[in-house]
Amino acid sequence: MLEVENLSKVYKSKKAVDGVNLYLDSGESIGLLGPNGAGKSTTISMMSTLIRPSDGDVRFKGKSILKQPDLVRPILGVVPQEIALYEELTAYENMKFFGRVYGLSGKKLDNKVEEVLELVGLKERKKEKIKGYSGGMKRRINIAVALMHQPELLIMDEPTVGIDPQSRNYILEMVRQLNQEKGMTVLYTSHYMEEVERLCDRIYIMDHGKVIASGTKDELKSILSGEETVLVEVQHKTNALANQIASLPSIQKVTEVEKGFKVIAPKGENIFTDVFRATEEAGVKLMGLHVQTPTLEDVFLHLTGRKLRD
Amino acid sequence: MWNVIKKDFLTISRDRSEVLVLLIMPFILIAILGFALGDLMSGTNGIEEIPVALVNEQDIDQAILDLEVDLRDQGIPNEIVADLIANIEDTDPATSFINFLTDPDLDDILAVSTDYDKESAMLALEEEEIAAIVIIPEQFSYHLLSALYLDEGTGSKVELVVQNKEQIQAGIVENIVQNFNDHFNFETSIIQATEGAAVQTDLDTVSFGETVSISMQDPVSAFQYYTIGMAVMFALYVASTVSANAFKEKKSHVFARLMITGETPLRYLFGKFTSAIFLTFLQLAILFSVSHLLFQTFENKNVEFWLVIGLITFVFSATVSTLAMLITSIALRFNNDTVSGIFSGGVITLFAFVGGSFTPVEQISPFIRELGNWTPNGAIMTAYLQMIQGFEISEILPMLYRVCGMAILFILLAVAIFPKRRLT
Ligand SMILES: Nc1ncnc2c1ncn2[C@@H]1O[C@H](COP(=O)(O)OP(=O)(O)O)[C@@H](O)[C@H]1O
Ligand SMILES: [Mg+2]
Repeated sequence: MLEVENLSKVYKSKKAVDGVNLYLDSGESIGLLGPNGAGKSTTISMMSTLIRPSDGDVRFKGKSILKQPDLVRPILGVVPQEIALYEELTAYENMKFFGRVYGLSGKKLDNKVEEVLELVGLKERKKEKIKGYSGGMKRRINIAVALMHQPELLIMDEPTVGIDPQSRNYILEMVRQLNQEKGMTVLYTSHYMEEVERLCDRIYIMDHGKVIASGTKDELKSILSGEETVLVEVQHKTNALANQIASLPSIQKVTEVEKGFKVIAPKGENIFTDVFRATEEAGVKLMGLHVQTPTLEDVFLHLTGRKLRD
Repeated sequence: MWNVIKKDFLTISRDRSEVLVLLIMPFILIAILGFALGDLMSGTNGIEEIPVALVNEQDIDQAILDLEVDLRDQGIPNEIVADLIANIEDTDPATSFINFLTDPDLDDILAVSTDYDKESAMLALEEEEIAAIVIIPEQFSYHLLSALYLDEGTGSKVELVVQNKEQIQAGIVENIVQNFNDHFNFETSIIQATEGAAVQTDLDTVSFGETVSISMQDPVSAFQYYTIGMAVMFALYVASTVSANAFKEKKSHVFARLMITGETPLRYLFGKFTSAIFLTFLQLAILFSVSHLLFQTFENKNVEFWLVIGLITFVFSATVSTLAMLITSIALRFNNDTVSGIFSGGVITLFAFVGGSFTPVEQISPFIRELGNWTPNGAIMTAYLQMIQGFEISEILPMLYRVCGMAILFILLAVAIFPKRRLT
């Protein structure tokens, strides 16, 4: 449905997006995962005809949309990262305004407003001004506005940033429903790997403007198939211990976690005795050793040596 | 289009500080300035009618008879004499003069009374019941006509008696009489009553023509002046309000959202223009009507007056809207809204002063007035005031054309400055 080929965007001398390739098939739910500043929003802006790429192309059903943005605009719903709404207007007025901008009117418009309000669960509070809404409610109307014209492709840029878990769950469930029950194609951007893991069929991981890995959840995790993630629980975390573990030849990466350290090592290596010895030498009491199934977080850690959220 | 206007109207009308600036503030100022400066204005503009006594001492029938005899004595054939006399009966200079003084055009300036004879008029003048006496002497027409047809004598004189020549009111009457003289070319003598003896003044050497033509307009009341002054000043705030609002749309990414729907930046810019026209026109209509309801500002005005006021208001609304476009353009081009702040914080005050919103600047310096007429608000204020003073539309049009010129200039600048590429 939509193909992105070698897409780049250069700001001054900074490369915000650097040769990104990706595609979306009709009905798919695609995740774009990456830390802040990875270039996700810039990529999305280029895909949604808002900014011009420095290089590369975006094709909709085989035709470039750079010269003919109107090919894709009518079927495109974009939920921006920011709350792009009129704060002084009510939810209802915002939805009506954007509905009309999309050419809806009369009974059709009224019905659509009600339908979408139902979907985002804010029917009762539609007559309140946006500025009086909670963060979660604002996010929901931010999405609602993008759904007014029944888009085939919904692009969402971090739609759950800074809201309570309840609203977050509501939104995730809503997106799942739109994708699976209404057949809407979804491009979902986030720096929360749980969300992408839960919602998306395929995932692109971005960092520093580049796609560093892509595939289904399982494909991505198989990157780690040769490795094992072990949680080392200790009574006290000390720097000496961290250094000692890191210096062990069998261990690839060490990161600090709440109860101790997360350690990545190649499968088959027997690191248990090594870790055990290290704790003893450092005089720290070992509380437990757990082998974990890898998460996308681990994949990112493996690929970049950094955590998704720093 | 209505969708955008409605949205802009709702967003702005719900912002309390905007409503305060656009509607409440001008009212407070109209009320304060109107009441406080009301007396001052009427003093300088001579709003009260000047009471004048007109004493006609001549007998036109006798004058014609005398002239007829004189003409025959000259040996002119009877038929020609009859012709001349018939002609004179129609064009008696005294009658023309009386008609001139009692013309409806002068109603607002002169209250002419013919109820006095010479003595009672002098008495009334002393009591200051009247400001001047105009006397048409016994032989007025006879002398004038003799001079005209027989080339005899030196013509005729109207006598103007005033209490004190330096008085403004006396000066105005003098100007009016002089104005008539300029057309009929006879002399006027001015007698200063307090000094008893007649003092003849040669008015021909002094040109009062211009002053007279100003005195003949309808006077402008303080409430009219400040309703117009404040309205044109505060209408300018619509421009900065609309541009600030547009910048907010850009900042909150609503603008980006609109661009994704296929809206183009230029169409967006012209959308701001239509919103601003609507807002300004509405604001001015509210200001004018409420001012009229509260202070009876525009009493006794006919439909034609309101139609022209409507036209001027529309032209001004459009001009303010082109300013809104221009400021929006600059703010979006430089991605910085200080321009709206500079406009509302400094430019408007300066324009309002030069344009005469606070005080009739021509009294300070004619140069400032001339300068003020090159600001949109100043030029429009002049047009409004001319309309209130009863000018013909044709006399007002040049100011309107000038403002339209400014509007076109603003649009061209706005479009030239506007970033036409897709905005990021
Ligand atoms: N308009 C811009 N001008 C200059 N740099 C920009 C601009 N927009 C984004 N960037 C830079 O490009 C990089 C990618 O930004 P962005 O796409 O917003 O990342 P993400 O959405 O993944 O957090 C960041 O380093 C950001 O500072
Ligand atoms: Mg982003």
